[in-house]
Amino acid sequence: MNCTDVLNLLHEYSDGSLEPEVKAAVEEHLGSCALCPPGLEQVRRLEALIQRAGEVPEPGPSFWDSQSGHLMRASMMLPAVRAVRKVPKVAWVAAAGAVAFIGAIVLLFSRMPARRVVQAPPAEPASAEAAAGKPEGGTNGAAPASAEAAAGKPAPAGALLPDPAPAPKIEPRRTGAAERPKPVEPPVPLPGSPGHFERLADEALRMGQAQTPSERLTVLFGAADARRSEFRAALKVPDLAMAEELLAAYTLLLKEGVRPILAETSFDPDERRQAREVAWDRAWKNVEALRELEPGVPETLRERFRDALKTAREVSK
Amino acid sequence: MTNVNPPDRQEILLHFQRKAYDVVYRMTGSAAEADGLTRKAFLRIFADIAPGADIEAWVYRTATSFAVEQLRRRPPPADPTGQADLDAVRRAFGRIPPEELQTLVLRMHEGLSLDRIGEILQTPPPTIRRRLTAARRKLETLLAPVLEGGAA
Repeated sequence: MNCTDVLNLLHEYSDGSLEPEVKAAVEEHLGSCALCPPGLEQVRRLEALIQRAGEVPEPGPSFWDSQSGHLMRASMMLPAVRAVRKVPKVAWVAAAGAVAFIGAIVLLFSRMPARRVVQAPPAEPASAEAAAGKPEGGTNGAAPASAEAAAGKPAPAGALLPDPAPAPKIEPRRTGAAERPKPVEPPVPLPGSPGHFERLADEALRMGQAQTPSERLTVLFGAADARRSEFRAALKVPDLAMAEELLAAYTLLLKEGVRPILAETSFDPDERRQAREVAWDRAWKNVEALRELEPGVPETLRERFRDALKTAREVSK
Repeated sequence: MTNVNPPDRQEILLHFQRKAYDVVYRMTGSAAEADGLTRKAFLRIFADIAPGADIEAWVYRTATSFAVEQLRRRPPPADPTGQADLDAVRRAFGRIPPEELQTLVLRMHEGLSLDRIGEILQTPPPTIRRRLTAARRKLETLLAPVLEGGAA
């Protein structure tokens, strides 16, 4: 074993992860070499530095209790989180792919009109030359282009952009842009897409922070809204397995999250009244949103869907 | 809500809360991030863990994976030169790939064996060993000015 071999093995040697025979060979070399031991010293200094960087400042006396209390309260949302995470992995990947694909198409569409304006019809060489050769300092810089356009000549490429006045040429294109269907709705992140668990965790952590019954109801209804819009997005993919789990999570939030809070009699009268008001308002919005969705629900999910609708109606009373 | 098992969760927190916070702090160098990511990690663990699972492995894997994701979103810090020793090390941590830092922290700060780290990260031990050596070599290069000053 020569010096290069040994220097290459110093980290593993110092870490204690070398095979015994290799370790013995390194030690033998270190014992007889004057050049290598300083290298080992440097590795050991590095280790000491790394160790010191691993010291963790104590976060404060009440930190652990407050963190665990928050987590235990947030855990109330776990059944609903679990229901969403039951979505089969294959379906997640497929749906995430589909959503990305739809997103790409939406993006493409939303960028097209802008490009069309920039890429004006290819200019005929003659008129492009004319535009380039136009003397500056006319009465109005924009006027020539407009005049040209009004005269029915093709505008030179790029000439439309710096022109602040809406040239007549652009008008039909703009109307064209307005006519296209509006796929501008941002894609809803579905289970399995990046950041979806974060969304679930944020809901649960907000639940852990909610103090009063009406605050808790607000969090629960917020989560229910999220599941409902994900359900709608899953139907569009379409991924019925995912839609089913999302619908189950939605119903669970109302049945086992909202309902027990409304049934609780130990709250003070003011709190109960506030909670009722929140529930009444939000549950009605849910009923309306569900009824809008109803025609698009496939036969296989009808029964579950009716259960969700029934629960929303019950909660709204 | 039904279908929950609070005593188990209390127990898990009692044993692993500090461990999770510590590894995330070591990887991110931020108390606020360590707190937030630890909370998310435990929620995920509570949501996904199956009865009889190796809880310690779940805690280490989930907490450090959240930290890896977080580090990937960060812009790399400037070169760790001209800094006080520990700041320089923290900066250097930010310059190595997050998976290598994850392995380094589990090995050097948690003192876990390569086999155990392999189990935790569900990665073959030779890969773990390569990551560890790569991390240490990169840190040695990044921290050469500090090391040559004999500061440690």
